[in-house]
Amino acid sequence: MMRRYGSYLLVLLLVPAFLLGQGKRKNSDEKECGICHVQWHPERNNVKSLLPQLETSTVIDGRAGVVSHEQMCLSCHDGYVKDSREVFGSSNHKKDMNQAHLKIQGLPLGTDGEIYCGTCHTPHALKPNNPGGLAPFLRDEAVNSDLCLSCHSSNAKDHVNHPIKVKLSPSQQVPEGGQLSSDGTIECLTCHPIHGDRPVLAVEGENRKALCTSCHEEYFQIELTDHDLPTTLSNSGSSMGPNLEGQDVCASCHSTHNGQGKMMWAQEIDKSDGGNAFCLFCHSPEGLAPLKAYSHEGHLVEDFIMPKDVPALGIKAGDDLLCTSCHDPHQWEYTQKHSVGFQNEEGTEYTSFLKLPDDAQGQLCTACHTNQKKIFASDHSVSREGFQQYFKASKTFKGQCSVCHDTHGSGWEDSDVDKTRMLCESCHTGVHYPSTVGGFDHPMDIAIAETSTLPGFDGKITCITCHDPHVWGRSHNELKTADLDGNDANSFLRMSNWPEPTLCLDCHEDQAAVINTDHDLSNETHNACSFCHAAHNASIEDGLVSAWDESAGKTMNEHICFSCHRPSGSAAEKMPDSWNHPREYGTITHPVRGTGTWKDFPLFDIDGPAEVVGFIDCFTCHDPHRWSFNPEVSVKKDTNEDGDYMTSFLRNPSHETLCTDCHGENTLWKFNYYHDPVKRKRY
Amino acid sequence: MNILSRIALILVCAGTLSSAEIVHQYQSDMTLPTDIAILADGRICVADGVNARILVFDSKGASTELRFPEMKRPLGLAADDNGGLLVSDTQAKSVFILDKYLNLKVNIPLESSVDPTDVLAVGKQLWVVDNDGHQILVIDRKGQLKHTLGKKGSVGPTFSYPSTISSGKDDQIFVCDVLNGRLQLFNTDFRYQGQIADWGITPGQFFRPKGVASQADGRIAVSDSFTGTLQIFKSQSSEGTMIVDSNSNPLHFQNPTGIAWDKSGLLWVVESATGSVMGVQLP
Repeated sequence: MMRRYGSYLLVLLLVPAFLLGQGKRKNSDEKECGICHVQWHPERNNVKSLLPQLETSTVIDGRAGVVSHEQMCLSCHDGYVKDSREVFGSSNHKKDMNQAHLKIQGLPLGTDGEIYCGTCHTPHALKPNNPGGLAPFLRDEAVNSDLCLSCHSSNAKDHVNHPIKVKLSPSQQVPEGGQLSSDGTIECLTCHPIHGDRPVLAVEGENRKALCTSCHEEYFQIELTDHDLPTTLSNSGSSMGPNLEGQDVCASCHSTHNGQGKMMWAQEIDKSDGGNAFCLFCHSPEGLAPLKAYSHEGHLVEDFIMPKDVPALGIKAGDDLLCTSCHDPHQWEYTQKHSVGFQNEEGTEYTSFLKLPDDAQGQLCTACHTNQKKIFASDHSVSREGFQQYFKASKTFKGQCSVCHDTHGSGWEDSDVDKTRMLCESCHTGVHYPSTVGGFDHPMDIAIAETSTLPGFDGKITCITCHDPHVWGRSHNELKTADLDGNDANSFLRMSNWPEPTLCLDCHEDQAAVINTDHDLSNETHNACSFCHAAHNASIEDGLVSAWDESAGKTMNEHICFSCHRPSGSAAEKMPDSWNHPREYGTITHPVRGTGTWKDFPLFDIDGPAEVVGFIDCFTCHDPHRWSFNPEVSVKKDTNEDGDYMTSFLRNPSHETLCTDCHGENTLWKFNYYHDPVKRKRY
Repeated sequence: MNILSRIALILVCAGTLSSAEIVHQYQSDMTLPTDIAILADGRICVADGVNARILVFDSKGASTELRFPEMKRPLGLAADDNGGLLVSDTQAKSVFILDKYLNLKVNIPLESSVDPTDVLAVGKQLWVVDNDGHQILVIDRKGQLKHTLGKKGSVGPTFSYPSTISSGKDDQIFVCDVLNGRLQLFNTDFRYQGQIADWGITPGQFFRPKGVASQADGRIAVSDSFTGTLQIFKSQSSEGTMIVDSNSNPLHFQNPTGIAWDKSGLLWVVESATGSVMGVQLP
């Protein structure tokens, strides 16, 4: 009985306790949710309710979403539960911002389409300290830009927007207050703090300098140069160009988002200008820099693919050759020691926004034109005395390459003037240079042999036909010279011309027969041609004879031949006893007769070739380049072989001469014994 | 609120005071200011932590600012017994002691886990509200920990995000217990004295109690940042009385936080959302 009463008592005690516990749990659950979902509070409709009348366009479970009202969020985030004072104090990313341009995907909005705290945040997300939890209670991950791109997807398009998902280089720093992704990549939050007091970090008004310099400090060498358009345009005093007042130096060319082209370009561009369109926007007659308009002449800057890497200029194989291949528009002077020029300062080879200078080593040009580096050791180096005197006299200075090449000058190839020759002669007819030309020189206005691959001007011979001004001794790896006269192995000759006269024979192939004859006088400095012929400063124009003894004879032929063929000459053993033909009997030349060319039977007067009537002289019968008129015996059997009527450098057999016109049947006798003063008179 | 509701509210709010009036409103480009303290000389100090400063208003409302390199984001203020100012800084994790000339004299660094939202001088000790720690730290003026009060909870001497602290007559210490929606009472011997009000949305209840200030006559004012109201409690056991305007509607503020009485009996309220501090003349 007592046990039964005991049981009843226990039940009586436990039931109220259970019911009380249930009531507490209910109250606890009510508060658990009601701590934010105040619209669920049972007293919400009580006339005594202190709930404020909050205007909200969000609807949750069919009721006004007071829970998502900013005031509800602030009631904890004002510092007294969580300290988000800076967030709520920020004017950035508020619900009243213009969002008409956005395509918001997968995020809740107010009934009027506006954003609110709950658009990005939900307290129901996993707590940040749980796996997968996203601080601060975000609907999607923000640090990797996913949440931001739910609305701002157009701001992630490559090239026209600042890149994201790329890592900073070691020299770049995260802007203060900015965040990188867990992988260390640049994301939206790197520059945009979302709830900071500025749209982007460290931006003053429209001036982004403080932000941009954290990563791109080197580009700010542009400040106060002519490319600093906010300053330049302001100083110009005119109303030309965009209004950039108060903006950072980057603004004139770059928009962080939704630019007009690659590199986040800020200005309209003519896409037909290709990769140079960015430069041509200003550097055109109608642009902001008409005095520096690109003329499409000079160095090639379009339609050319770089075949190899050029590390010194930051060029990779396959890149287009562009203005920016040579120029860095962000720095006036390559060392950055002279980054600030004065307005409208005329550029030099060291400035002009060049990536590298065209100094005495021609750094800029030889970065690509590596083969031309050999010029530094030659007399064509601008460090040599001749150039220095020229610079001093002209009060100018040029770099190694620009002293001859005008990068942006008019095209030489298209000109009707041989500018190459003019350039060479501008020095080599002057007083400062030892190898002056301008006397009897190789003719340069004649067509280059069709079989030749040598360059010329308009198909005709010019200086660079024979010379490559960049290499002193191209074929013999001979680089250095110090104000020395050259020889056939160097002299900036384009092709090897020693010991074989390859360069000469490239055009004068017919004269190759002289090689290995007794007239091949080549030695350690001269080839088979140059002993008798000088391409420059010859003694006479005809044949460009290099040196002769005026006392050796009475005619041009005798002066030339007797320089050797005389008792004291190198060919004393071949001194003719008789040689002269009566000069009072003039002979009409083949061309005048209409029976052949002048070379068939050349006639001369005292000073040189006769075109109409002349007399017989040495070269009338002898061709000094050819041992025999018969190709089959053109080569001597041995070096001291005596000649006969078939050889002896005779130009023709007797019957092909004009001798029979006068001598008739005695011609053969006269021909054979021409140099025998006794026998030749027998008939 | 329609007219019937207003009439009803007037009828049911039998305990309301006569109308209160806002007689001063000071603004000085503050961003979400938090707490207020009135110095012995009558100057009004307001914590403008977002701007890393404390603004000091004179009797005409002219302000000067206090900035110290050590001070990062001040949140809580209290008048010190010697005429100076106490500052709690949630970013610097410090309590600062300023003399009566408002020169920074002592920087008391706290443990990095401490979230000091308010501070109070009690004799030679400082009572520091550790918001995230759900407790009160009692330290001396060298930072030596002497005592702790409370832990996380909802019953008895516990807290759920305590915010501000104030002292009253008879050695009473009041602590706003934000998410528990109540005012916790202790005495200076660290004994728990019970609570005032509980969580709710009707008069006599708190939804987000943030500021507490006690008058010499024993009246205790409490601000509720979400409902935007002020309530007066004459004692621990009394019903709360709404502060109302001339229409007998609760005088409404936008996110009121710190409050303080001045010697003239004005109740000064920090209206955080508008960056203002207001002097309220009570009947």
